[in-house]
Amino acid sequence: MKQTEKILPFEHLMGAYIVSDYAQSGASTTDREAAQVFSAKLEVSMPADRVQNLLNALGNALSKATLGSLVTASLAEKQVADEVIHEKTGLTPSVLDSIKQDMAFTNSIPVKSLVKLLKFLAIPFDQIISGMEQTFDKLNVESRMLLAVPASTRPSFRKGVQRGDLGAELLHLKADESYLYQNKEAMDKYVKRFTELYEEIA
Amino acid sequence: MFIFIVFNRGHKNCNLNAYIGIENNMETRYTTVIEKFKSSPRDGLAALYEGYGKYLYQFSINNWGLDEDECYDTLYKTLEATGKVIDRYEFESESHFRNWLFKIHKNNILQLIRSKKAKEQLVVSYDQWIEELGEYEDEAFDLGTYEPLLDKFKQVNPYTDSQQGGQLFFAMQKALLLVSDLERELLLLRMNGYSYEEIGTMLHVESKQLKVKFIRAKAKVEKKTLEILKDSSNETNRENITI
Repeated sequence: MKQTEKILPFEHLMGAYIVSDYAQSGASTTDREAAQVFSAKLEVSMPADRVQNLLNALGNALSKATLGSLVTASLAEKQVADEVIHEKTGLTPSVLDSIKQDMAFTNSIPVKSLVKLLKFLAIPFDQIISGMEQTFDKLNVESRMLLAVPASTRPSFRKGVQRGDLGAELLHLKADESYLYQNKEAMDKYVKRFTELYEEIA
Repeated sequence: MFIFIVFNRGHKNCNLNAYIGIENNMETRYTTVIEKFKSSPRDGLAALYEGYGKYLYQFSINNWGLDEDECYDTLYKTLEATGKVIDRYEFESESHFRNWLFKIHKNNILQLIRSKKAKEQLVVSYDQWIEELGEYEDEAFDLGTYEPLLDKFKQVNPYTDSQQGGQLFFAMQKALLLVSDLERELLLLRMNGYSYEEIGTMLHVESKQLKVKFIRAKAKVEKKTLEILKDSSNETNRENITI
């Protein structure tokens, strides 16, 4: 067992408290800390080559297309009206918007309608699967952030990407039901079914 | 109509022109980052790192003593998460954006610290409690009545033991509410790794006496925490006897 020379027991316990969820939900010093940290004189910095690595790696990770960006680009290229999409797929304009803006978990979208949409837009299958993964990650990150950041610090969605824009088909879901779609297992099952239907539907 | 603006020349935050200049510059900073992200994630990332990431890196090292790899990993997580969602959000002000980003980064650091500390086992003896009490001077109290309680925490790893850790943290949270605002903020900031000089700036107080104040405040919170734990332990014992 590890023994250190000088231990201040209560300070040690306070250290544990500080990193616990209790401290995060208790009295907050975030405002003061952020002001201090971002106005401090820079005396320590990351080596230049590591900065370059960091930015390159992040650049690659963030440049991957999401399902929303694939659909948006394809719709812009094909110049198709929302009504036509509705007719061909059954997806209402508001559900289509939520797909375009990556505002809904892909596995909450009716699978047959999504297959019809993506077939109609002729987006390559590999890109679709990768895009679905990116959207899933994006929404998971967002959910975790919402839980971890206190309400006073949370930003609001910018105009045009409000959750209220989701279609009636998705609005029946309560906020706390979104967890149904947030797990990898549910997503994998959806992708499996999507793949089967993609091959079946002409 | 005359408007008088009175401020203390000696106070660093009251240099009005400089203050307004900084705020104006900062106001354009986060909006620029968001705009850059909308046109190119790579440009957005570079601006985010330049304007904020550098400071978060320094914070990881100075306040939490993380090594270079740990700092890299936590900053990667923060910038990746931010980059994924930043273009869909609106912020009220520069400080709103900074608080949000800072909170995300701090959460990533705390997550790392928790997982590191979970692997450490520390055994604390009663003598070490006595030794710590020795530094309290005026605020010292009789630790003898709490000995059975302290014995319970002798081998507890508060980072992993959710039951004992939970009781302790709950008591500590309550105890922190029983001291003055200054004492509470001083304790929290010091335990978050800030120097007394930085805390003095943050709380707008002289930093000279802060070490003494910290020790006294710690003693008060320790005593109150132990009282709360003892009371709740007595209550549990009474309930058990009644049953």
